[in-house]
Amino acid sequence: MKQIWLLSKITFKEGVRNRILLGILLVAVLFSAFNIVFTQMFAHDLSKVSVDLGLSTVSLSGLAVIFFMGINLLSRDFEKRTIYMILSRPIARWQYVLGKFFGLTFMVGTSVAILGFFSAAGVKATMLIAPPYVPPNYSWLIFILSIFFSYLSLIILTAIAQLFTCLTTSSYIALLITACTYFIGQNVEIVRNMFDDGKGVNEIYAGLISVVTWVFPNLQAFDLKTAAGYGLPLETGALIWTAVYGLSYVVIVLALTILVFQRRELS
Amino acid sequence: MKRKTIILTSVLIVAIALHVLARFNTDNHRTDYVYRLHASVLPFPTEMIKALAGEFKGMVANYLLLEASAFIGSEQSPAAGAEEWDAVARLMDQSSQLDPYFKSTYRLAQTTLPWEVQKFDETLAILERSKEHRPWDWEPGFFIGFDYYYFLNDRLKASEKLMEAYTVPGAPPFLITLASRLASQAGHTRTAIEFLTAIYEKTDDERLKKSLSDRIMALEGVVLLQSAVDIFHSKYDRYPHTLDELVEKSILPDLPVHPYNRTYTLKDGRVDF
Repeated sequence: MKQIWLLSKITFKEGVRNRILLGILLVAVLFSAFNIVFTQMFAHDLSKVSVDLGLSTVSLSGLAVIFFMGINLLSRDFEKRTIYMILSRPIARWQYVLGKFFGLTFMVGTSVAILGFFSAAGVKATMLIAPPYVPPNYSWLIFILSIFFSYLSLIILTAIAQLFTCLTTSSYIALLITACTYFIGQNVEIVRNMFDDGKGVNEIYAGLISVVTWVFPNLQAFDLKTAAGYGLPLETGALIWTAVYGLSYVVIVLALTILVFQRRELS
Repeated sequence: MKRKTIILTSVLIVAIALHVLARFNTDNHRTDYVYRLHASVLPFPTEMIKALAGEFKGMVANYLLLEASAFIGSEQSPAAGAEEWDAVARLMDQSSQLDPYFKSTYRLAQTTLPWEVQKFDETLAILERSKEHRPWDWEPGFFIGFDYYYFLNDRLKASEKLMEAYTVPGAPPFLITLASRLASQAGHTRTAIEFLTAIYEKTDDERLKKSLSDRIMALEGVVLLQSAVDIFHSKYDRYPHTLDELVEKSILPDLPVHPYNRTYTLKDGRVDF
């Protein structure tokens, strides 16, 4: 446990050294200001536009942290061969995988928290400027839940990025595959619904789609931006099951990463 | 090593079992989303946009609507051809499909598409989508009723739609008055003025207020001219050749001002703007 915590801390510090937090802070301030200006261009539902922009910024920046920094941090140990130095210490391979994962998750979480805070400030400012356009059922709880579920989808992507980094030991390939996974994950539900409707679809093709929907995570399930924008009611059961769905997916991917890493020949 | 593998395999099995269970439960809870997709049967291009937009559908919907409103507010719109207006209608439809909850979309569609380019079906499709997704909002149902009445001349359907809109909690009581008046076949243009005045009084949006007051002014001009034409007809047993004849024969002191800087039209004894 101590080793995992130590590795997490080192990974997080590496991220901080990259000045990523400074960049995120800058993005947060800029987008909050832009949020207020952009929202005024609309005639109705101003708070919805503001929530859309704020939550999209949170997701986008989280994705940027994973794609531009996270994958780089993960693959650096392989590419610069510092992995030998780490593993020569009393650190088991599974501890290395978990330590790196939690460090990155913490990094992404910090980015989400900073941007989430500034987004909320932008939304609040819009609501104060135009109080008649706040939806009657608007709820900050749903806004926070939306950020939490957005974070959960980012954790899933972090786990996937780590698996592919361990599999390929190349940052570029890992980035490419993780980006593809993100794209597929966002559309899995739409595709599945299309095939649920369509009669006379080729059975092999339908089977393939079914497999894809099991292998790739349904990232749309974690997107609560619309609900947050309009204060639409959410079912507690649905939220719990979605969280279990995401977390169990992360555990599976981490277990697979450990399996792959333990069998990997590093010399 | 062996112990570790057993633990890892056990964790994996438990996680997979939990994941399968969670997946089925998540799918069950997401049937509502499936329903929403069914409700918005999309042509291929919109589906493509949806897929590309991913989780940023709301943002893309805002952008598309901004494109449409920028065109409508521009100087090009009065001179625009059918092709441009088709594109504007498509933008609004795509925006509405990407985000069927957005109030700005149906408001913009209602205040432009049926008036400027007689796109009644397109407007009704957007309004129906908004009505379905905004069960707390009486306005889409109200606009549907208005469109059936004023543009499609179907008073019975209009009355039905207004009554439906009245069932939304918080709907103003004038809806039911209008609905009943329609059912008893009230005058066409005057009822339209009442509809517009009612919505004018309810809105705080200055831009919409200006658009509505222009529309009301134009319709009041039609009412004034139509009654003058009717007087002319009863006096001379024929309709005037031009509207200026009404002033020449001293039935009207002046022709009413047209808010859109056009002239009122007269065809077979019916005045329009």
